[in-house]
Amino acid sequence: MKRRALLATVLLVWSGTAGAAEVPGRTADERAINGASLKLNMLTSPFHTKALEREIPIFEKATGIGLGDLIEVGILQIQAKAMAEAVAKSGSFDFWVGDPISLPDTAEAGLARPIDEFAARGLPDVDDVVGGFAEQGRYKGKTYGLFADGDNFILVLRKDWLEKPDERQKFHAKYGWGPGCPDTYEQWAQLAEFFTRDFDGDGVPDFYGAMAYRARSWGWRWWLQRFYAKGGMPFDDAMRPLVVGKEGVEALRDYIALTRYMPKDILGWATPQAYPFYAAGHAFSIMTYPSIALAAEHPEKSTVRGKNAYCLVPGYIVSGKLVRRSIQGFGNIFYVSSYGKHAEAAYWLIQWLTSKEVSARLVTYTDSVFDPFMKSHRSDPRVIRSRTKEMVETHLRNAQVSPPLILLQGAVEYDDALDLNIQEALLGRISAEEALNRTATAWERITDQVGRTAQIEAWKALRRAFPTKNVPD
Amino acid sequence: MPAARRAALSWLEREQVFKWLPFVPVQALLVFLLLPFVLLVYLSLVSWRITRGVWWHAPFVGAANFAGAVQDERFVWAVIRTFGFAAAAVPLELGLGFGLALLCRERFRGRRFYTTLFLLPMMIVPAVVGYDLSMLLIDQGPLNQILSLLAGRPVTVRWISDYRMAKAAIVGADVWQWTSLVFLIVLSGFAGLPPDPIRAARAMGASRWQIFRYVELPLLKPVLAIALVLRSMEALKIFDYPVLLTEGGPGNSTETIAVYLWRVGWDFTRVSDAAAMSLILMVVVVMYTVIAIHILRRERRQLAEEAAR
Amino acid sequence: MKRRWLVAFVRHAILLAWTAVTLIPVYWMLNTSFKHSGEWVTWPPHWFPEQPTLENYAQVLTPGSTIFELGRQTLKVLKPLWDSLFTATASALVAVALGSALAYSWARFGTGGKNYPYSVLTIRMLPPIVIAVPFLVYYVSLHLLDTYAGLILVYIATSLPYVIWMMLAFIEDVPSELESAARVMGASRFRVLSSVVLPLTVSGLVATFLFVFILNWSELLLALTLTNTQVSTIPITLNKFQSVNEGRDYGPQAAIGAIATLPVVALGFLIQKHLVKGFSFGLLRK
Repeated sequence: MKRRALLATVLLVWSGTAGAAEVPGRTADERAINGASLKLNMLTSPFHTKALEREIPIFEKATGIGLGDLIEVGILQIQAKAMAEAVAKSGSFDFWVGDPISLPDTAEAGLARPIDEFAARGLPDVDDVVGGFAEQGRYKGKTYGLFADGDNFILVLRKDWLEKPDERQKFHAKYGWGPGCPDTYEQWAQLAEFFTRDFDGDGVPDFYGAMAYRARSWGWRWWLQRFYAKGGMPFDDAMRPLVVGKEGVEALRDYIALTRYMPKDILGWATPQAYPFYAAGHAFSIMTYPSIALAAEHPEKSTVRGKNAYCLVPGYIVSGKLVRRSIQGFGNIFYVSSYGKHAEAAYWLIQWLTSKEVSARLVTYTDSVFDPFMKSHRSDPRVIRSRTKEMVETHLRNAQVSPPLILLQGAVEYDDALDLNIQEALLGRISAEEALNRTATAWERITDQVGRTAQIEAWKALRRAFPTKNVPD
Repeated sequence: MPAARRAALSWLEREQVFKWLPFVPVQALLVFLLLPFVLLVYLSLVSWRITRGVWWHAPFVGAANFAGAVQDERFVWAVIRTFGFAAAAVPLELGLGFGLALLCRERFRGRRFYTTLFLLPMMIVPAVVGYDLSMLLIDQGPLNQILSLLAGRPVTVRWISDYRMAKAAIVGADVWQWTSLVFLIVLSGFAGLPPDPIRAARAMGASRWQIFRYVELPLLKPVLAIALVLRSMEALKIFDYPVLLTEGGPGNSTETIAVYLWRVGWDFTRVSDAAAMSLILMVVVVMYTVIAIHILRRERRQLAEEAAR
Repeated sequence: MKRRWLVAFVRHAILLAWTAVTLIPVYWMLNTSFKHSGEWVTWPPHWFPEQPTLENYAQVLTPGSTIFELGRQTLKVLKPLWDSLFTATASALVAVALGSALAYSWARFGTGGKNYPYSVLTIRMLPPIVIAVPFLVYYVSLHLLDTYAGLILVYIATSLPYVIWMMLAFIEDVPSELESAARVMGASRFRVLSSVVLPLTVSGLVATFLFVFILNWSELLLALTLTNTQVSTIPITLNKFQSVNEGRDYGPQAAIGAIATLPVVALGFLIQKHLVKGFSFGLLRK
């Protein structure tokens, strides 16, 4: 019923405003008869294409607004491509799917269009969005995008190994707890140590206790999550970097220490190698994006289907209390371009795509990555079928304590400086303190280059997106 | 009409007209290219980033961007590293290409098979090579499997995750792909060797080695010089392999100039800084090439003189 | 006799070793292109597809889903393949025609001064990323962004230096007496070009064409910046095959790689007899 109402609103507003000028006919049927339609162009990474190709035609049937040209680029090149459009102002796409990291830059560059005026009339389903996710589509008090993909990390363990009686007994005798989902990073390290196995005794493990990303351009997120769980904040109120403290250094040391239990090549691996490696049963645990469930529960490709335990992301004990943080590691947002010709039509399309009903369908498709992000997804049978009930529950609980990435102007550069230095420390080329010192120096330079006053304002606004709970309910 | 046509033709026939004919479109194209270059120079002198309004409103800052660029350690290291890659890859390509061409210069059974096959790598799109290698180079992947077989013990070189080996992987990718071009050039050089001096030397009782060392090699020098200049100019632009294999990592071990400039310009939105860096780079490369071309021309001149003698 | 056997043995051993080095990555590409997604990256690797499949080829060669049937995205590889072929061929043709004419003019009349060919070479020294940003601004104002003409123009410009350079060597090789003789016999300058110079330099033209064709065929950086939807080349298309479960769609990528290699190999075979002569740069037959 809600969907009908929504669609009706969309139709009404659409035909009442932009529609009158551009598409003859007041209703969808009329327009269909008139044969008039409006094609919107989209920029996306190929991770979303298939689901959107299925859904947008449904919207087109109802409204005449469909998909025209599609610009697909690799997931790490969305920022570059969006920036190119900000320079070119060519109007080559009307809306795009991008991560929150690129929001401040694209907003400042004038590419991302504020959508508050439309949202005030359209009333998107933002109330249903979990945690601080909706806040990530906002920048300096304005809304620029509608959230579509809850990408906070999840920890997956091999349930079949946890349930082996003799392993349980030995583990419990050694560490005095569990084994089970770890509450702290220390416990995760214990699990990793215990379950790393070298079956053939050649000195190279055949079963790895832990996996997470350590590759260039990816690894920093896993450090930042630990840093947040330590109670760390990247900047103070004057945008002075706070990474060089006890929290940062300890988090980095732990981050490096855990790498011992990971495959040697992990420094060069991202999703293309990590997912199949876990799904082939070579590792006991992996902390990564929630879409791991699609790979791990894949009916044909996975050898560990049904053998996975989905856990809350562990935390650190901060002044006697457990603090869990599950970072929003990528995430995707639908943005409207300032330079497209049909901003309002694009808005109605993205509002429809991020509505309760349609987003649940998008999340359900296993050949695209939209991960659950709405409260209603928890009980949606289609979502559950695609990822298991346990996974959806855990993921959405994790989302309650999901801090954002550093969503400021120059975000990619802040991240890159952090990532580079963390990896140098991981390689043993510099110490943990040195790595964070260098990061702080680089961050100061970036802040000064971008403009400190503007950054302070943005940083204060961003703090609203941080979770207030220590652990999820 | 034919009269007018003939007049036009004879006008075109005049040397003063004829010799400039190809220059008009080429110069037009160069002027067409010059405008963005002027824009590049302008951008390097102002302080503009994509997130800061329109570029023509950006404030003039003089040489500040250039000063910033030379103080940027990452930039300086990317330049040194890229020259290092070229310095490692190009001699290897020249050596391998030369050696293989040497083995293939005479007629023997199977020569056609080898010469055809050896040309294959340069015909494959570098991006494909990048993806292909990202599968081959996994630490328990096919390459290490073969090496283990050859070595008789498990080899677990971490081609993409070890600081040094990642550099070797990038150099290796370049060598794999472009040795084929050098091979072709040198093979062509051998085919084009003039028979007379060699015959004369043989008549004078020179050994095969002497003929090779004192007759053929000097004659081949210009060809090798061309291969050298061609390959080093291209090797300084390595982009596809690091982007697809390592993202410039681990650490910054495979961050080449092209990768870093791509980041500064598009990802970091610091267009003015990128412009300044690229101009500095251009000066460096031009200097390098001027030296190389000087050598090339000397070789050509020497050869012409020898031919005249 | 024994020595000859030894020489032959060593020769073949070395050449076979390099054959293996050359073929393994090529084999791996073909191998992957016939694998199901579950087999692309495995520990240990599969040297043969356990269940060979043509689905990768089917996926890249079949039309997309229905909504794109009217759009230009209809064919996933055929369109970029065509675009790549068109831009690479057109730019190589124009560059070879212009560049060799210019080389001829310079060699015979010294037009443009003695440093001209070398100064043109500086174009090639700019890393493409350098000109990408200003080019974008420039192209938008000229409405050349995302057009064939735009891409071809850049490619002509970046190919010209090599063409001039390679062709110079061949043209200097043509005995000028031959040309003078033809001129004395009343042939026009254009006639001299087509009947004397062209036949003597055809190998060079063909080899130069192949060389710049390969360079433009595989160019990634400029194409990524200067195209959006209307034009889409093979190198940028490769980037698009990424998916959820595997991250990179190695299978379709390998299939595209194999398909994209075919035209170049075919071209190479077509001009095989010119190749060796063509790359000698004519320098030696003075």
